[in-house]
Amino acid sequence: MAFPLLALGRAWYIHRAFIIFTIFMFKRDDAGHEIETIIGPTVKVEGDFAAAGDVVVEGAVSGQLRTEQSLRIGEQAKITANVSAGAALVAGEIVGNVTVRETLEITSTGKIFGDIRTKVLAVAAGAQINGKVEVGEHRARTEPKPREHVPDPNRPPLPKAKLAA
Amino acid sequence: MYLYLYDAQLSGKPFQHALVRVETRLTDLGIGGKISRLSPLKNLRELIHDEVASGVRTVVAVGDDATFLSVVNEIIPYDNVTAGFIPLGGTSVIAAALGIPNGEAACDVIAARRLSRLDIGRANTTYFLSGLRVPSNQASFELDSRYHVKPNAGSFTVLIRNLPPEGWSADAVGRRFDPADGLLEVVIEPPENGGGLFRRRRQSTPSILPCRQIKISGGKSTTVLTDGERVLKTPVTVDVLPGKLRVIVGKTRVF
Repeated sequence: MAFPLLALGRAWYIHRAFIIFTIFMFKRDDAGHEIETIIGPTVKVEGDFAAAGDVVVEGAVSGQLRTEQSLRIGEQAKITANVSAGAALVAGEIVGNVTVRETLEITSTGKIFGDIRTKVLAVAAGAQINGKVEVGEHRARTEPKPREHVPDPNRPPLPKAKLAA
Repeated sequence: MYLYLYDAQLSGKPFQHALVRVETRLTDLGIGGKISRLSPLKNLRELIHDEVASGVRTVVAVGDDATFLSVVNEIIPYDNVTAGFIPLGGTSVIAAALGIPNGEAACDVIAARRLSRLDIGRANTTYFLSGLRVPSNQASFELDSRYHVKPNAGSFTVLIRNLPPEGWSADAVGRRFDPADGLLEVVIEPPENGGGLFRRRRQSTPSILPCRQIKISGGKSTTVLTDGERVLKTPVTVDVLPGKLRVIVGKTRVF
């Protein structure tokens, strides 16, 4: 009789712990996405632009564009820069290489003239891509090393006369 | 120990009744203190310096936004001094942002003593709490020494905000303008076009760029207005002092 009660009590504690953990995680996530940068259609940004939070671009950016969070490129936006983001939705034009850690979505109006590197790629009909595309988990590339010449100690040395010849 | 600084305009007859009620309420709450009336002949910096030296730890401005801002400007150098605000004599944008009601009701907020550490902006050597305004469209902006922001041709108003901009809805403000996040927000508002006789509509969405430092440069006609309407000539370097101001806030504050 005591065993089912103990199991029920343990299940209740696990359930409560899960709820508390979920609330904590949502609060953290919410706090992490507070800061939002908006580059409006009437503004041009030049230089090394880096943001900690979400970024929405409706105007023009040239140089570098980086964010750890999500990036949204509007239909009228023109980016002449290498772009790096946590996740991205592209409806405008990018001239430069694009690196996205998670998901890159290109809408029907999106244009990317440069290399793409992402984990997940979604491309709508009508989107334009002109460049090399790498999709999936990226591991650090290891070039094969040239084999070093190791002399075999059991092999008899060549005669000196032959060496001289 | 409390110091109450009354604005010069409160010596007029229309405010006498309101002042008596405020003073009575402060005494009832047991937070009465020294009262000093400001005037053009009084040096606020020296007054605060002397009072802090004699043990004052809370300086409460009684008046409008300009009174509070001038007090804030003088207490910034003192880390152990808290600012308070009792708004009297007109609508106060800063009081609304800090969640402080008008007049007598503000005394309860002071007594509750809910403290918050807010960032303070600095434009060259002038401190500001709510923000700056750059009306000229000839100014150029360098943010965080990394990138330049250029509005397209047209008459733009550029705001550099610590507190949420006046007249913005709660949805538009969101959590972007947090005066305790260690950041200032550059807001570039596009020119307005006429949407009718009684309605004005913006052409497009404003740009909002959070940053820590801004360098403003421009032609001779370019000026920068602080929240106390003090005029600064370019070039102006703006930065943020995180958590520099200790202030008493109300429950209904916007951040």
